[in-house]
Amino acid sequence: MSCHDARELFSALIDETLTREERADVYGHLATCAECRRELAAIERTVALVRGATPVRAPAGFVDRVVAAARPMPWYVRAARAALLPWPVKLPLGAAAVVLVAGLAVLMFRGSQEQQSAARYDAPPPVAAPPVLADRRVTEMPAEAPGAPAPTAPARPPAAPPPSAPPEAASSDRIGAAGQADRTAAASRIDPAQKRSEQELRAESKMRDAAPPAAGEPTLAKREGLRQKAADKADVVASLAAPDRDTAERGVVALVARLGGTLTSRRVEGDAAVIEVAIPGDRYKDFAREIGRLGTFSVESEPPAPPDPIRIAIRLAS
Amino acid sequence: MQEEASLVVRLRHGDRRAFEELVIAYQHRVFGVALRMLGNRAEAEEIAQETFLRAHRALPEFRGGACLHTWLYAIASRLCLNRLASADRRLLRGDDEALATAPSGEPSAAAVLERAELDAAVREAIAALPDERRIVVVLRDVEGLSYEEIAEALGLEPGTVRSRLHRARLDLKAKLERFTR
Repeated sequence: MSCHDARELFSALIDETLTREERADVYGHLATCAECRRELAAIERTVALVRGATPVRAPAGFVDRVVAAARPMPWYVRAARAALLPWPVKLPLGAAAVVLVAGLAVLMFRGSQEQQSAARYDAPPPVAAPPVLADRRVTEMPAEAPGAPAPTAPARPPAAPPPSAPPEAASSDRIGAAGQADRTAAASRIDPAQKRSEQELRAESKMRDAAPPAAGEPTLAKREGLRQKAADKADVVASLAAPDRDTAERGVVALVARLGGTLTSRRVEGDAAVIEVAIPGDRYKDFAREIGRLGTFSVESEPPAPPDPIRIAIRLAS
Repeated sequence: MQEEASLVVRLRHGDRRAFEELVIAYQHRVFGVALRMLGNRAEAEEIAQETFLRAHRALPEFRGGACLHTWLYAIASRLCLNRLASADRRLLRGDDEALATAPSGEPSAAAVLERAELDAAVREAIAALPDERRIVVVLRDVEGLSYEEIAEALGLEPGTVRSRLHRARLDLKAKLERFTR
């Protein structure tokens, strides 16, 4: 065995990892080579120095810090750490959050306007009963048109509760608790004594509508004017007989909207629904022509010349 | 060994006390490897802590085929070598606190100084080794792992371990010659 070969095995010899044959060969060479014996001794002292070095100790409190760090962090700590993110990370995140919030705000604002418009059609504020339909038991009802979106916010909060019957009365009317004959009679009854009630209701309606209309686009203001006009008096009293009352009612509402008018009130009288609308006077002829497609339209009274706007009370019956 | 097996079972069941026992048992060894590899106490503590935290997270998957301490050394070694290989690492050599470590007992002031000088010389000699040789000599001559354990921890062949260890020792012999005459 050469000196080079023997010295390559010195570390393994020190660590006692040589095979018996390798060890015998190395010891055989060492027996004849003083230089290699000195080299082996120097390596052994070096290894002893390294192994004898003062052991390193972990700093005080190390165990506590590790154990604490291994515990799951409370949510507020995680939030605080997230808030301390470096600017290159936090800035883009913040900008993205601002854009997201702004987008949501725009969406909500637009949705609110649409809902308010829907509420104007579906849930008009309380108005007095028309002269021909002044039954005090009848209270105004929210729109029941199937498929119409439920109003999430009223167009205008009522200034005072309806002076008429409590909600149970309206509810009983809606579900048809009274007898058919009785309802029919009540719906068609026009009592002179009710004219006083009409005046009272009209006065209350004026008080409720005395608040200035909300500032908005011209269309909204115009609709407010139409509603005010409708609350005063119906210019036309008519009836519409159709096989399906609900379908006819939806058709009327759509027709009125198409002609630039508005639904001002709706209530139920017996098995009939009475809706009041107001449309521009110059569209009344179109209205009278087109409503005939929805059923049998009969006018009970109308002025010689249509005012502007013109208010129409329509009694819908099957 | 039986004690370590029992500790592993408790650790895999999420025993918090067992984790604390693990840290207590291996803190100095893991920290020692990190300090001798990185040469800086703050950085060594960071790596040692990360070693235990990674072990804590990976304990449910610990197969138990390897010894627990070999597994810890493997994590610590990998973290140290990765840190040393990172481009932005500042080589913070010269750790004053390491020079201040003193042996146990009540030796004379001269012995303390001599011991401190020797420790510093050994530490500097080890620190001057190439990373792949340094980790092998630290695991073998400082931590006392066998060739097989070092090979397993570092993912090397035992022959490679023996070769690197021998080269490391020759380097150290040259640097510590004045202490070995």
